[in-house]
Amino acid sequence: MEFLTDINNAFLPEIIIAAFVFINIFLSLFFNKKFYKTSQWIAILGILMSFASIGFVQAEPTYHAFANAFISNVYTVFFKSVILVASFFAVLVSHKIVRRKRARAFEYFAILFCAILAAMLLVSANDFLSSFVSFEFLALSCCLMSGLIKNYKAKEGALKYLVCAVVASALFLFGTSYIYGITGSINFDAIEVSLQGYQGSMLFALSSLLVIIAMMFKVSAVPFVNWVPDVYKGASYPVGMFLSIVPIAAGFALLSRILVIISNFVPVLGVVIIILALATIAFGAYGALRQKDMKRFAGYSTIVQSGFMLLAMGVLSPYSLAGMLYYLICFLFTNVALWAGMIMFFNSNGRDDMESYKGLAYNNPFYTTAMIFVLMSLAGLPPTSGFLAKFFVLSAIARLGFMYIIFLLVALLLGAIAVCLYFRPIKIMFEKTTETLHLTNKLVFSKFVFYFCTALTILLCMYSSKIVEFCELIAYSL
Amino acid sequence: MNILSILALIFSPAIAALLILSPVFPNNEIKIRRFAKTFGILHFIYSMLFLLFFNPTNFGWSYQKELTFLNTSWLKTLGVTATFGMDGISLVFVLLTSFLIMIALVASKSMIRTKHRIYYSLVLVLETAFLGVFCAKDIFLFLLFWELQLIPIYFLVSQWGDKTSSYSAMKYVVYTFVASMFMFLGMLVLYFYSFSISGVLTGDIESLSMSESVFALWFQAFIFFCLLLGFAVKIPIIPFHTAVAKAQVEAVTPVSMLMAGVLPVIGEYGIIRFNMGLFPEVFNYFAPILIIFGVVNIIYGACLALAQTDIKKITAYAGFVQTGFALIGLGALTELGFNGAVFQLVIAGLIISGLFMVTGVVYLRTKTREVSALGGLSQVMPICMCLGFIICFGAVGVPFTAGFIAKFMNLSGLILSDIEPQKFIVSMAVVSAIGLVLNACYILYLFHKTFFGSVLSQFKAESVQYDEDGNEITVVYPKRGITKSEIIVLSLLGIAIILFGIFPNALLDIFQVTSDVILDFMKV
Amino acid sequence: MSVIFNIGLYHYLILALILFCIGLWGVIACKDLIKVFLCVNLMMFSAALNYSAYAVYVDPEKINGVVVAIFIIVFGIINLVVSAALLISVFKYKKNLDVEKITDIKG
Repeated sequence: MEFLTDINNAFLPEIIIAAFVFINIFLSLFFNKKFYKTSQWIAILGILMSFASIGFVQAEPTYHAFANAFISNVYTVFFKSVILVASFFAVLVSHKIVRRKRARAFEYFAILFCAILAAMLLVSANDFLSSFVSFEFLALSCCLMSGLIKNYKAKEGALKYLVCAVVASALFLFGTSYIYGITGSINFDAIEVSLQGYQGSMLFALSSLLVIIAMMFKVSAVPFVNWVPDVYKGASYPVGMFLSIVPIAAGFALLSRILVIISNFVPVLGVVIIILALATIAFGAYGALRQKDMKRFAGYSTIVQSGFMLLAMGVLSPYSLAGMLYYLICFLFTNVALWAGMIMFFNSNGRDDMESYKGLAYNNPFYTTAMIFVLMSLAGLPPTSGFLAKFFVLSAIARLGFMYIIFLLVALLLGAIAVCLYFRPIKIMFEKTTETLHLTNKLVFSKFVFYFCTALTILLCMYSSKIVEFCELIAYSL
Repeated sequence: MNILSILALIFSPAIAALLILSPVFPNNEIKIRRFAKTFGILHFIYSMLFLLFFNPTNFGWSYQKELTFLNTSWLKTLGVTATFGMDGISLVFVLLTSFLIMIALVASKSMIRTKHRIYYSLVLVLETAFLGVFCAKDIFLFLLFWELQLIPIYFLVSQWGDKTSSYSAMKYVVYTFVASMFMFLGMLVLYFYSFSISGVLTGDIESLSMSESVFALWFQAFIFFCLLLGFAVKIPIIPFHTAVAKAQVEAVTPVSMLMAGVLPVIGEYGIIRFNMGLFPEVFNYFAPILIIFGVVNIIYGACLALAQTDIKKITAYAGFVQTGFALIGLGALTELGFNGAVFQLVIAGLIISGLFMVTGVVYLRTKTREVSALGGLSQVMPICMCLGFIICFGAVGVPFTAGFIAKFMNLSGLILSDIEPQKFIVSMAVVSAIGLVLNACYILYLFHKTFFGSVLSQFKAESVQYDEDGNEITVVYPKRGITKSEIIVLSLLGIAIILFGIFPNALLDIFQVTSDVILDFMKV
Repeated sequence: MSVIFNIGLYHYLILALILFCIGLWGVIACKDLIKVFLCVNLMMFSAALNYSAYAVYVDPEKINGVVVAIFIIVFGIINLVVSAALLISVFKYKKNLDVEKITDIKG
């Protein structure tokens, strides 16, 4: 029974999540009417159990499960924890959706857990087949989740997501098929072995370019980027929070593992990725600067942030990977705080255009202060963790050499533009208005998530030394 | 000397700001203001203690202390530590900052009418940012505090300023941030290239200054100009001045005082600490550029000031002229010039914030800043006139005021300079002497038009008219024309200007040794 | 002539490439959403063709590529199912499936 030890050593969290998918489906059949409120608690329980079971997973040395189709090491465990923490917050803030969906709440959580499972599988996938399957699985469950609300905009967003997702996976497949042809294997380890001594060729470069471009869909970067604000606009808030973190984290995990294998044979790949990243930041900044809707603004903000993370991928050294991981941790908490703040506002007055944030500073000073810290962190200003995160990523490029200074300069100037765009909501919050809006006090979970993550945003800047060491440790394990 | 903790000096304003913001603090305007004022005075006294126990013959950094988190350095893996320290120059600027913040807090009484809680906490956060820049011993710590200033300044300018101040605050932030991105670029490149040479990752300023001379000259020059751009916008050096001037003019008076008083000092401190301290060779090579920048600041700033009709704009451009003199002193590369530059920066901080205070007082009473609409105020507000007189004379550079000593030192430092060709130095000295005359012109013009001449009917004490919201002023205005807190502010500034005019050595002795060290390093 | 009629690896690859290009062109140019999804499936199946061709010619012992191809076919069908569900629900609101008319979210 070898697969049982495989499960025990590498797959316990995933199995628990999968079990909760079935539990949720089962409950949705029988416990329809009365017990819908318990669904959130069951989901919290599931994620906590899965998180606890991460401790039992073998991380050192690398464990190969299911005939080498999946692996488990420190790197995957780190990403799985990030995914679970992000989805934990997403579950915490989704009480409104539970109340609205009532009988369907269990279905919502079943799909959410499917997405978590898919993201975790994507992180530990070790061949083209398993990565393609989890790629599609994640895309389909995210698509269903964003189309869950009963209105037209949600469906339209989901449709746009699906079109982009299938095109991306087609490109991914087409690219990997040539790599399979060149190396004769679909397994990452075997590919690495068979590529030793390989000189590189045009076909290999083109096919790896196709794979990278397909991965850009998952990390929401140029060229697959137009869907982001539309989907976030259409989806409900907790789903938006989930989509803005989990697929991106999983995408970066896979992207970095693929890049480690192929980047040595395609020398221009680093430059291509840096250019894509800069284009992504520019696109996000340009879009966010003229945005009137807070949800779409959050979408463009996600694009900008993932552009900065992608910048670190273009360099690909242990140092830059550590920077990327630190950025991911900061991004996780900051973005959760941003979405939780938006949820608190939306649940108080049901509006999500930016104009409705007018005058918030005078009625809710504490909320506004916290929101300012969050936006400062996204902009990369001290004293928040965003500043350090940007510092790490940019210093990774500065390490490369004098030729890259032009990229560094462009990135810095784009960072300056990013500062302007994050000042815009703050400016609106301080505008005078006659309306007074007091945020409701009922949203205990959202409030907790918002203030907790904001505090972490600031604390991460101070106690960064340990975290950076930890990130470097993880990066070296790749 | 356990009571003298540099960390307490730097972070206590931020803690006080948090205290004011916290829900525990009573939401009472008077209590908040008194608390902030008392804190400002206590902080100044505390910083004076640092002067008292300062050993001026000490070569390196005094009061060094590292801020650790859970017994670990801030960014240990990168070699970046949160180490603070002071040398003579930092100490002088720290004292100036603490003094100006105290003055600004006192002056805020009559100028700030709304949102007291946020205002006072922002000013105190700004103080932490200023002090952090002066005391940072690590380039990235310096950068952190440098960028930290932007947030309070944005809110202070946009929330309490004129009608369009929101726009100008945004413009200021963008301008400064773009420039500081170039500075960031320079710092990153410097950091990694010194790593590639010495093999040690460190952001410590002292250890960085050891490894510079190995670089190629063009490469050093690249970093030098990246850094210089960041500092130039902060000072501001003339081609980069538009956003700064606009923000200074549109901000409320205490904020303009701080911006005009401390920000140029911060910029030139950066030039002294990084451009001079890290790149002595390149600085020797490019020193004439700084002199040219200084002369442009003086002449062009004076011409701009002469062309204005708004008294606050005249004051803002007067500030550029004052910093121009300091730039000349830095570029001269002589001991006299360097000491004069530091001295001039301190004095310019006092003078310009004093001038802003005078214009603020006048504007508060008359509700106009147009020169043509003012006149004869000496009869209505004689005390303000007397105190303004001292400050204006300091700005002009009349003997027995500190302005005279500072300008004398800078100009004679320039003439004594060894920079070749000699003709260039002489012509620059002549031009800046002409600038001195122009400087006197517009300040006396400002002073004359505001305080002398025939009294316009609306300013006569009997027939003073007020707006609806001017009720607080009506009590005091007909009697003395100026409130007690404003008298305190102006007289403190006036006393400081005269005091350092008579005893300049009181200030010069503090940083004598430090400037000797820096100049020795320059000659290597 | 023998080059054309002796079917080898490159024939399959070229056929797959042509199919892929047709699919890509269709995705970019077609205005009908149903056509778009069909073209995406064409792209995916061209990849499946590639995989199975390589499996036979490059990796004949393990034939991993064939497994991948089977999975591609399965997921292609799943994609069609999900997209059909979404298309029907969009069609309910809009009464047509023109790409240029499904643009309510903007700004």
